Formats: sequence, structure tokens, C-alpha cells
Amino acid sequence: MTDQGDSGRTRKLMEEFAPTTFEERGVTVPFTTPLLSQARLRRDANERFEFLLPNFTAGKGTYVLPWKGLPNVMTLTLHDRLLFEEIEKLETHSPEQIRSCALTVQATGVCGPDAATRAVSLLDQDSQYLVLTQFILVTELLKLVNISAADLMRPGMTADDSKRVARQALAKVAAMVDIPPDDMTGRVDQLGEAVAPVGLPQAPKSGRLRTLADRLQAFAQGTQHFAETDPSDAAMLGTYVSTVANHTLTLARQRIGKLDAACRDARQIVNDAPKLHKSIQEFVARISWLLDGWEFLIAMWESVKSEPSASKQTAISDISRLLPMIPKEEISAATESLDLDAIQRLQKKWVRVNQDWRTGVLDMDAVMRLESLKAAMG
Amino acid sequence: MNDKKPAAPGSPASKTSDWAALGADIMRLPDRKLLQIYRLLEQVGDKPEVSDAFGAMRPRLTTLRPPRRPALSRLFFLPAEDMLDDVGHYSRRLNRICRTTLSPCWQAVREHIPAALMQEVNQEVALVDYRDGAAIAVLVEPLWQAGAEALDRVMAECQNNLKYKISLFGRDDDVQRQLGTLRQILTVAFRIEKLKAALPPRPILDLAESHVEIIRTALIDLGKEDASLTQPLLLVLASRMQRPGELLRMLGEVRLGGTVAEKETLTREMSGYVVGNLLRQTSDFDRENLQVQGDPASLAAAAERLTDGLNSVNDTVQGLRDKDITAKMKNARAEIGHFVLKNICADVDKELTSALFGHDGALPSDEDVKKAEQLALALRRSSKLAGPLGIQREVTAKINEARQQVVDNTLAALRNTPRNRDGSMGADAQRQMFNGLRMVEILSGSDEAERLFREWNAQFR
Repeated sequence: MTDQGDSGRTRKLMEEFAPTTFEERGVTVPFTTPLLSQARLRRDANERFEFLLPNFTAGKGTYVLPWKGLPNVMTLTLHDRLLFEEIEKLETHSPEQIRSCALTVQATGVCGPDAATRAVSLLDQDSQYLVLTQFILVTELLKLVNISAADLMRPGMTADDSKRVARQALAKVAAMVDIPPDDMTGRVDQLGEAVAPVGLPQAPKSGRLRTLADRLQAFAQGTQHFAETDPSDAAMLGTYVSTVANHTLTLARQRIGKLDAACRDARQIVNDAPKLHKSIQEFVARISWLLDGWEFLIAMWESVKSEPSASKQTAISDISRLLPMIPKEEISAATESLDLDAIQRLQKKWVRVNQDWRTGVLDMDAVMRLESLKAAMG
Repeated sequence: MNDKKPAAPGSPASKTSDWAALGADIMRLPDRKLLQIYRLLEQVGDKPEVSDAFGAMRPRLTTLRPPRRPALSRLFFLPAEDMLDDVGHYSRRLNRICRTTLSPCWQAVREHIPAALMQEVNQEVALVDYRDGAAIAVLVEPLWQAGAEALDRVMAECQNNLKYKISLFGRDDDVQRQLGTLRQILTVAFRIEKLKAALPPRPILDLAESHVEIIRTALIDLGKEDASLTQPLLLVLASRMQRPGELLRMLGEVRLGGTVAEKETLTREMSGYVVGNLLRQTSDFDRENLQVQGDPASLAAAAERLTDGLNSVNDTVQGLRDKDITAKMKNARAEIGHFVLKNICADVDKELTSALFGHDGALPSDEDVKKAEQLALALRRSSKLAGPLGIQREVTAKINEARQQVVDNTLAALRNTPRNRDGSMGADAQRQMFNGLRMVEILSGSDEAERLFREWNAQFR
């Protein structure tokens, strides 16, 4: 059996088992039970929930378990029990919806005060950013009737004056396509909600997913630097991680570019809002799926930035096992130059031998480490 | 264990106490100021007096872990850093080294190391990241090699010239043993530092398969050269591990060079060191000294570390069939058990209740909640140790007591906190409920926390 043969077989296996779609890959759920950390949720053929558990076998494959089976295998934190209850109430399970659920549960304080404070602040930032996005959309529309943002904020104008001018101007825009002014406001609200996770390119502050893409770029650079300088064989895992990160980043940036192009012409809001809304939703959903799971990995890497190389080696090994697999339809030649067999062997080598899940008792220190990462996630 | 402490070397008493007093004064400063003064003191250089100030600051520095400028003397002793004990904790005949020995030792050794070499190492080290252990090992290796030879000369001179020895180290013959240990370590200093750089930071808790492989390879390679060279490497490694018993097991499985008898001797000596070192640390526990002061969480972590260590050497101790060591192990467990009950469990329930509920009905701050979490965690850690330490009944009773107090106080808070107009639980009440549930989860597990959540939610929704 040659190395090349093994590699070829592993690649074939990876292609065989790579998810076809993002839905098949499953959405990452930020559980705090260590063995469930970064578990991916999806529905099985009978529409029942099942979880893909990358941490369960510590590098020797991914376990798929139905939700009902989990409590028999491990003790779940109260946070995870409550989060799952919230998830069960959802009709669809996109990364955005799971995030919103997770933040709502986290904000209760069930996983500690830092994580709660962070969740409250993130929910607040989301709503502020939505207002900002909707405001920018309004100003873009007003440009169609030759009113600028400066016209709404002239010296001596009160907030009510500004609102009145904006309403009058929006009514003019609505009249262009012969719809009631309130309908135009409704369109702006809807489009704003759809685009806010990524944000508009002209916004003074980047949207959440756009910022995450920037952080992913820094992460890819950091792990590449690690790969180039670390003397141990974990360096190869660094190359693997940074390659997948760069690949994901390229795809995410392509989608962000397309989204920005779609949002560029405000006349579409007037002329064909439903079509624009649909394409924005599709682009944002794709970007969100692409970046799903990366925020946790970035937080993990950032948490060892100033640590000794041994901590970085362990972290890169953990990260390499949790990498979000890019579905078949998105797989490009980027990973083909890697010796996937060697990567798998290395992943197993860096697994800690003293981890024991069989007792079923929660390791509260490990839970708290995950909670502190939750508190550090943007 | 600590039968007699070596006398402090050299420098005038008044001067030493001035610096130590300065160190003690600095301890009262906030973290930021302390680190500022620490950096200034580092620039003063390798003066024995300054090391007194550092000695006084060490407990805080251990927590703050400021980046350290790699002074030449520090680099020289780096491979032995895990073998060093403060004067109050030093035990003889255990292959340990007392910190008071370092300053006169460096003073003597540097006389025999070429100045050009020291200068070269100093300059090269200044160009690399001091946290890059592997790079530091490469650059400092010539210093360790020269230092080992220099130390030979110093030791020989001490043997032949009593005046020389007394002027450096005083009359205590134990110093000669310490220098011998240091000499052994310097011989394999490069391998030690390379190994340290490849392993997790101390205390090493979990070893990956790759780490086990690295240790095995290092031992086999050294053993091929000379089996006795593995001893200093093992000493350092055992001192860095939380469960040194695992290293002893590994040693039993590795085929080193040399005869079977040599391997048996090495295993016996290492077992003696590992057990002795754990007992030494345990004996520090019963003393009323600064080292065991701290918050309950870190005290519990220290107790856990030692109990873990003692548990890991159980098989080895049984294999030794030494009644004396077996009795000492039993005593050590009893001492840790006593320590846990006295320092962690005694008032933990009251402190926890006060942190979480002692605010006249107002919500606790995040800091208070975190403090309560740490107290609950300390108790939980203690419960993990209770079995091996024979204090299960007392710890279980304390956990039940603490849990009941949290439940009673949370219920009282839920009853007293105003509800929303629709009768549902207000935001403050919800937060108080989740604070309480979190403590119950830490103390009694998630099932109990979920049961209470359902009960309270139904009662107060």
C-alpha cells in the first residue's frame, strides 16, 4: 500500500462523505457540553433531529447521533437543554436562526455572567445595525428624488423635522411606482432585515458577517504563519487549516461582492423589490452558511495567540478536527495538493490520551472554557 | 521532611533585608504598578540583592506571569527551573535545588566561562522571542556546555579549598549535592529544553499521543548514549507533570540502554524522587505559610493537583513494598483531606450565599456571580477528591448544605422580586433564578438544575 494510494483513497472517501449541500453538512450549534462542542445539527431522512459530533471520537471520525440518544450517552449542561428546546420551536434551521436562539438563551445568564453580558451586547448591536442599514437604504432611495442625508440634518432641524422631510421624500419615491408610502417603508424594512447580517458596503461600520470574513482572513494568515514557523509536525495541520480557511474566504468574498453589486442600484428597490429581496436573501444565506462555525475556531485560535507553542500546537489540532467541511458543490482544487492521509494521522497523534468521557460526569472546567470562548466571540 | 534549611549566602544582612522589604512593599501595589516596578528592577541586572526583592514578589509574579527578560544567569539555570525551591520549602536529599544556591553558584561559575561566549549568547538571545523555547535552547547550548565544565571546576575547588567553599556557600555540605544535581542537568540541558518546548506547559496534565512519542524517543536516544543521562531529564519531566506516576509507568515500558540492574536502580531512584517530591509538597500544606493562601478555587486546584499526583504513584508505591513510604502516603492523604476541610469547605457555603444574595435584594454584580461560581467550583473539586482523601461524608454534607442555601435564597428572591404586569417573572427575577440554577448545576449537576428550572418556571411564570 503506497502513500499515494492511501491519499487517493482518503480523498475519495472525503469526496464520498463530503456533504452535498450546506443543509446536509448541518448547522453549528454552540453547545457548552464539551463533547457536543461545535456539534452540527441536521434532520435525518425522517425529519428527526440528529447531531454530527466531531469531538466525540477525538479525531477518529465524526459520530452521528439522534438528539434522543444523547442524554443516554452524556450529561448535557442546562444551557444545552434549554437551547435545544428553543431550537425545536424553529421551523427552519439556518445559521442566523440558530445564532439568534443561542444568544437569547445565553443572555439569561445560564452559562455565566460574561457570556450573558456579551449576548445582550450582541443582540443590542444587531438591532442598532439594523436601524443603521435601514437608514442607509432610505438615504439611497432619497437620492432618487435628489435629497441627500445632509438635507435631513440641516442646522436647526429637529428630529421630528428630519422624519417629516424623510417621509415626504419617501412618498415621492413611492409615487414613482404608484404604491402607498407605507408599502415603500415596508420594503425598506424587509430589505434592511435581509441585508443587515452582512451590511451594505457604504455603511460606516462593517456588518457582522463582513467583519467575520475579515477576521477569517487574519486567522488564515495567523495559521499560515504558524505553519511556516512551527518546528513540530503540527505545522502541517496549520497548512491544512489555513488552506481551508483561505478557500472558504475566497468563496465568501465572491458572494459578498455579488451581494454588494446587487445592492448597488437603489432603483431596484423601487422597480423590483421582490426580486432584489430574494437575491439578497440567497446571497446572505450562502455567506452565512459558508462562515458558519468559523467564529468559534477564530476565538479558539485568538485565545492561544500569546501562549507558548505547545498550546498553539494543541489548538491547531483541535481546530483541524472542527473545520467546517465545504460541501461537494463548493469543493475546488484548493485541498487537492494536501496529503489528507498524513493530516488524519497527525490529528490522531495530537489527541490527548487522558480524555475520558465514559464516566458521563460533566467536566465543569471544560464547560467553563467553552463558555469563556462564547463570551469572546464577536 | 524539611529537616534543616541552608543558610542564606553572602551579602550583608541589612542590605538583603532592605531589598526584601522593598519587595514586600511592592506587593501592596496594584498589578499594573507592580509590573512597572518589576520591569525597572529587571533592568538593574543580576544583583543578588535584587533577587531578594524578586523573591518577595514571586507569589504575585507567578499569577501575573509578566514577560521576563532572559538575563544570562536566568538562561543558565533555565533547564533546572523545575527543580528549584524557595528556602522555606527546600528539602534535602531529594535532588532539589534551593534558590539561595543559585546566586553564589552563578557568581563562581561565570568566572570560568569565557567572557566572549557569554557576550555572544547574550547578544544572540536578545534577537529572538524569549518564549521560543526551541530557539533559546539552540542559542544557549554553548553556555550550558561551558557552564557544566565550569561547574566541575567550582565543585572541585570547593572540595579542595574550604575557605573558597565557605565564602560562597557557607558551611552546609548539602550545597555540594545541589551542585551535583545542577551539573547533571546541565549535561543534558539542551535535550531538556528541546523536550520542554515540545510538550505542553507545566503542570502537564494531558499528554497527546505525539507527546508520549516525543518523551519515549528522547529517553531512548539518551539511553543509547548513556542510561544514566536519562535521570536528570526524568527528574525535570517528573517535576513538570501533574501525574508523575504516568512517567514512571512509561519508564517501565521503555527499553533504555544499559543493564537490567541499571534500569532497576534508575526506576527505584525515580520512584523515590517522585514520591518524595509529592510528599514534600504535601507537607507544605499543613504549614501556615504564604504558599497556601489564596482563593478557595486555587486552593482546591492545588489540593486536586497533589491528590492526582499521589493517586498516580499508587501502583509504584505498592511495587516498592516500603512500609515507611506507604505510611507517609497515607499521612499525606490525611493532611490534604484536613486541609480541604479546613481551608476550602469550612465557610464556603456562607461565602457563596453572601456573594450571590447579600445585596439587600438587589442583583449581584457580575464579579460577585463569578466569585460565587469559583466557590461552588472549589466545592465540586473537593467532592472529586473526597473519596481518595477519605472525607466524602463531610464534603457531601457541605455540598448539600450549600445547595440548600442557594435554593432557599433563590426562592426567597423570586418571591420578593416584583413581577411583570401580566404576572410573569420580571427580568431581575429571571436573572436571579439563572444565577441560582448555575450554582446548583455546578454543585449538584445538570439534572438537578433542570428539575429546579421546571419547578420554578411553573411556580413563578
